[in-house]
Amino acid sequence: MIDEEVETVLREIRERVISRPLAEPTSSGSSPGTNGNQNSQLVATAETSDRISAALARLNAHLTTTARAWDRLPPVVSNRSGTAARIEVWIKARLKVFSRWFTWEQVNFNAAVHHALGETLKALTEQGAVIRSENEALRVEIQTQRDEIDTLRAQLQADAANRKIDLQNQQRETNALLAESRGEMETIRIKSEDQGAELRAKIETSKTEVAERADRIENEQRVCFQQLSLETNEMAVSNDRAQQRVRTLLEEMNERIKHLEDSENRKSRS
Amino acid sequence: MNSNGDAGKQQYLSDEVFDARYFKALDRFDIRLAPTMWVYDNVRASSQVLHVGCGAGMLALLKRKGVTITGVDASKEFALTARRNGYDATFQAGPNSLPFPDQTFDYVVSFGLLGAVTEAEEQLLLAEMRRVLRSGGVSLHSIECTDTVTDKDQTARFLKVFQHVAIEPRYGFCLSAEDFLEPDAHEPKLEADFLDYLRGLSFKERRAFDLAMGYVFSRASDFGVSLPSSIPHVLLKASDAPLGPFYNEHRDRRALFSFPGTGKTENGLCLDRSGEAVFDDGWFQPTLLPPVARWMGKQARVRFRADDVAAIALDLTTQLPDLAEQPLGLEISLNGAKLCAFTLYKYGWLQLWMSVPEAFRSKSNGEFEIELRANRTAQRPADDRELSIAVCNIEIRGQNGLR
Repeated sequence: MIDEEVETVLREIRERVISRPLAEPTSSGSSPGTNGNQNSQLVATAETSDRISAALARLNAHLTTTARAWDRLPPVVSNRSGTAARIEVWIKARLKVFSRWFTWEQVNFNAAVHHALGETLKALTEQGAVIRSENEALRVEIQTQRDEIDTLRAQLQADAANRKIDLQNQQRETNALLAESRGEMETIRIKSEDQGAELRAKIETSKTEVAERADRIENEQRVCFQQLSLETNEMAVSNDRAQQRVRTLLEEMNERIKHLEDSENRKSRS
Repeated sequence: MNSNGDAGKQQYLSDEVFDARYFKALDRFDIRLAPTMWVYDNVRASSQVLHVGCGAGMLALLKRKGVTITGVDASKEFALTARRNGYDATFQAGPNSLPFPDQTFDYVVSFGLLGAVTEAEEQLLLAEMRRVLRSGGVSLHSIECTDTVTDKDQTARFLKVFQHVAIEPRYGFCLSAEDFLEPDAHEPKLEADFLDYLRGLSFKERRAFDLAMGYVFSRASDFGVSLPSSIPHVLLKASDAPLGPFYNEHRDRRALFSFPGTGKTENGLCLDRSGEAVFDDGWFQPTLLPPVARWMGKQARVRFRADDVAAIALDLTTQLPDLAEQPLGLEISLNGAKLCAFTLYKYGWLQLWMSVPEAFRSKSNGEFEIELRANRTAQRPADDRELSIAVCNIEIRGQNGLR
């Protein structure tokens, strides 16, 4: 009976030794939070949780082993066979009585360690559950925030798209207005150039017309003055003739008066 | 207020020159001058005449009789035009308040002024005219009667102011072509074919028609032919003194044919206003361009007497269209011999000075005739006369004038 138990204990120790190299690479993976993003943190948290779970599992396995033998003394067995084995077991049985004082102490110690580890496991399990629930809450919170962020991002993207469309429309309108303004400016420029040319042509025409008119008026004035001069000349000549006629008449009258006076004088003398 | 109550007609007439110095004797037959000639033959030489509503100065011809003419018109423009045409004085004033002292004038004349006013206004007018008339003075009027105011009514109205009134119906019988074509509402309707014929007449044909009408008018007046009183346009004489003959009371037309002493200058003779020069019918009535000039058609002559012609100077212009493309060819002859020929291709006045060869002068015997010929004519807008050039300042210089 005791032999079977010993074999079982040894088998379990062997399995644990075999399983250790598999667990260690997991525990020596990338350190959490190095990349700073949430996914990496979550992965790190999950990895940490797995590592803790693995450690707790190993602790539990160790406790399973201690639970089987924490209240017992080690069995008296031999790996020998035959007589040697019997001698060895006999010696050990005899020695068993003499070593009971410290073996019991060992048993007590084992019991204390076993209970302490059990309590530690329980506390760690509870702590792990708390951590897991907090992780879950954190994950949910993160997910919520991520959803909100996604919503906000979608809204922002939609807003950005709308604003982009608005901007594009405004840009298009501005471009159209600009093109229209340029067209109008060009039209005004061409018109002003045309008007300027027309004005210059008009000024030139007016200049020519004014010069021609001035020539015409000067010419007309010359003819008018010539007419006036001739009329004045005619009047002067007719005045001269009238004056001569008057003078002649006066002379005739004087002569007649003289004649009359002479004849009257002669009459008076006679 | 104007002389015949027709502003449009006066506007047309205002371009014409009525200055007595430019009068052509043949125009005495022009029916349009018939009232003027009636007055001319009824005023004494050297008398004082007041023309109420003088317009452009239709009585300027009276200057040939040595009459002193004073004009009054409500229009300043007409007053100025009459003054320009030779009136001794003109005033801008209404006929109801003549700006003259009592008994200033020997004659008061009006054309077309009465008849267009109410009886009350007419009485005021007549009283004012009587006020400025000297004792024994005569008022002479051309009046257009209407359906409501007959010649008998007019006589009655005048008799309220003057003691003696004589009236003769006239203008329905003899009218100008223009008056026939634009008759007043109360003038008799004429046959359509006759009016069509009148419309088709050229300017010279219309002038011939007007001269013929004027001639008939003159003869009818001279012979004292009585016309029916239904004729709306009347001539009227009124005075406080007994009236003389209705026509030709002071007829003396010598000055119409010869206006001595005019046109002579220090250096020779200016034909424009010379009473010795005779402008033939190739010339149109003198017009104020300015200056006063005569338009001619294709050919025109002017005859004159001069002792010596060494040079001829004149100013001429044209308004023919397209002168650059179609220059105007002109030729001037003296007594049938070509003096010069040239081409006019530019607008404006051209001063022409022509020396007369000795051979031309010796053959003349003191009688000269200048002939101008143009190679084309044209009508101006709103003027159906065929015109080529306008000429003025035709000056004849003798040898003394050349020195």
